[in-house]
Amino acid sequence: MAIEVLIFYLLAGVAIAAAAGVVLARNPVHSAVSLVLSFINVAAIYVVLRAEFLAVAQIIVYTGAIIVLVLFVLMLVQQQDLPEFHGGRPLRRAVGFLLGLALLAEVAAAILTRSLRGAPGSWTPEAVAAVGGNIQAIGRELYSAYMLPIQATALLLLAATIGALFLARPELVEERLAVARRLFTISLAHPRGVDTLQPVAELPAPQDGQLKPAGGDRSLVMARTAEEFTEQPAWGESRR
Amino acid sequence: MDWEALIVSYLLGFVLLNILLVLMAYMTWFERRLVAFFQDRIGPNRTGPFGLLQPIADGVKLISKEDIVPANADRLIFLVAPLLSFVLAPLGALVVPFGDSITLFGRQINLYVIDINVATLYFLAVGSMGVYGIILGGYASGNRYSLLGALRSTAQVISYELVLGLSLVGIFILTGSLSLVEILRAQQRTLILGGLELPNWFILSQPLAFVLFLIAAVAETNRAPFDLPEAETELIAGYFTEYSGFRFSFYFLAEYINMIVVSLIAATLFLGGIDGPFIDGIWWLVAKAFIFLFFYVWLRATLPRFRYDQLMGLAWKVLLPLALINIGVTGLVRLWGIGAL
Amino acid sequence: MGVAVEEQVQRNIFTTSVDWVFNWARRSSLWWLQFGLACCAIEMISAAMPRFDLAERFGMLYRASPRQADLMIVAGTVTKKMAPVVRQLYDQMADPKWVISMGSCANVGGPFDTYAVVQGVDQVIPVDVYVPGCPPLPEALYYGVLELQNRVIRYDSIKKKQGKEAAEADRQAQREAARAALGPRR
Repeated sequence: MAIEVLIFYLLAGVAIAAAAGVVLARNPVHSAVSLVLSFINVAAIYVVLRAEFLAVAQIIVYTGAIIVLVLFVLMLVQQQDLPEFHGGRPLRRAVGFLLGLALLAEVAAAILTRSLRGAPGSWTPEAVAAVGGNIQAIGRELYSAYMLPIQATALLLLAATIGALFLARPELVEERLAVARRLFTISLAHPRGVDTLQPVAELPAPQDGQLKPAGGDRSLVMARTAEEFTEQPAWGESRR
Repeated sequence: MDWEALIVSYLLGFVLLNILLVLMAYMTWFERRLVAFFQDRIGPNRTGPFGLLQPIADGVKLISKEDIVPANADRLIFLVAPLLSFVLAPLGALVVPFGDSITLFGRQINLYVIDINVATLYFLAVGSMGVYGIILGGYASGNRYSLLGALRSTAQVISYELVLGLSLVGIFILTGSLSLVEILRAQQRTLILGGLELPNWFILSQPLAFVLFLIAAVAETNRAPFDLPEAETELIAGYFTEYSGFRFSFYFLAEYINMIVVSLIAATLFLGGIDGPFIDGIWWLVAKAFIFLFFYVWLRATLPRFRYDQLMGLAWKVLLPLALINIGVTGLVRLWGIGAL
Repeated sequence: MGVAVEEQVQRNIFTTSVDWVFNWARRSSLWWLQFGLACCAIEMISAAMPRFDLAERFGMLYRASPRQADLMIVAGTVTKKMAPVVRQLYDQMADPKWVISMGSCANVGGPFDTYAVVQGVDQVIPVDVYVPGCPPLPEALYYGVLELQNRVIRYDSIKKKQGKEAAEADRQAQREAARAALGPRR
């Protein structure tokens, strides 16, 4: 048993050190890496506690998905655009410090009131082994005792998904049609389709019979001036 | 604590990792020769007989090259990232069962390093960790091409990891376990289909999941046609553009070890692993994994690279719904008792 | 000096074992920078294509990143605008690195005796092997690569025996001899 305690202290020590690194690192990417290290150590503690499923779920969900997304955003943002981590306004620092203290006190109170070991639950190691293991135990508990919270969470996630869909929806149909008209039209006056910068001076008006549809979905249009042809302003230009 | 079993496990793991390293070296030779034949060329044949010493020459040369750290690199992360990639790559192989137990020196030794009850999830977790080597390497290089490669890799791995995981849920439903050893045992039964006796391999009962797994695994290992993170025509060499010498070779090794591990896992999950007549199971496993490795090279020699939006569209609009449908159908079949095996 | 070095090189190649492994590895795994400047590049590509398969047969592999390349084949006309880029790419390559100048333009400027063309790429970067021709046939490029492999062995042997300075000095002498063999410039 002693060796397990030793391993626990080692893992916990590294986890806490890494967590301190998250707060202390100047570079946000370094913070994220420290957080990954901390999560991995927590997962290893789960393994020591024989909760393999929880450990693997921790790694897949937190380090494998969430921190990767955080890194994704951090890399998209320019380094100098990131908010200053240290030496911010004094008020903000004070509030942050107080909130951190409050959280620490809360956690300490929770641990101390239930004694350091915590109250033993109904799932003893024997009970877990009886149903076939960790995964089975978690599955049974989640889909019987905690059915309602599971359903509520599913609903919340569904709402979030629909929200994401709404945010990432394609442009309105009208806008798309306008773009399509522009892209799939060949102007005789303008070799490159739309070029509002160079108005064409004098071109004979199109006559019936002269125009022949080009191959495919494109239509052939004869325009005298750029304005006559162009419905949408080109990129970066305001409508005149 | 059972120290003896622990030591045996470590020894087995050590042997396995070394075998993987040698295999990986010869995987590069195999790939180069095979792609050369696909392209009507000859391939490396001057370095040793049939070019068999080529991987060794490449390795020795890479070790003896200069190790460059760019001036505006994030030094610590730059140095560590390739090691991360390389260390995490072979870990997935530790849960693959290589055969039944054998008796050696009067001890019964199981031919797998460890049988944990979350083996498949463990494989997914190691895979999802492996992407950190790529992301951090790309970020730390201080090069915009590397950064773009890392960004692409991030989005790609997150998308395809979902498909990879969901494609396996059908198997979990049929087996009732996440352990690879249990999944293997389930496949050793016989499936009687209209008077025809077939092995109960999951490629037969889960064909859709097999296809999804195959596609997602190719994307997960960043191989052609999903090799966008290292697309030469667009990003020079992607996330390892700035790496030279042996740090580059670590990325190289990691990529090939990943391929081998994924092939072993795919053979175990879908093709019955060590299940087969006449000869020892381990040879069957090797032969089946070899099919997947050949498939990898075949893909590389055949298909052009995907465009980035096509890649994401394929994952989210095609593969993910198909995986969900597969789960639903498998669950219903199981519920109605048709698939009670 | 020259004779002594020659002798030692001979003895080295036949007697050493560990050195031999490194020499052999360097020579059989010359990865080249995927980089072409003009029509010679077409001939270089042709050399890598199925008919000749120069690259793969000799263990060469093209890399797009200079960090992972050992060999730079300057294939084509080096204009004065391109010269800094060539130099930068050369500087980005990891040691030990080698350069083949392919074709008359890269060697001496070729037919372009103009204000815009560098009269020989050796004015920008050190060149180990010159391959003549306009453009050189793939066979000529082969010959250049095989010659370079000999140079690699020679360099590494001297480096192991007498240190890096001696090897660099010998390499420089070889370069100057090759340059002198090209004949006078315009």
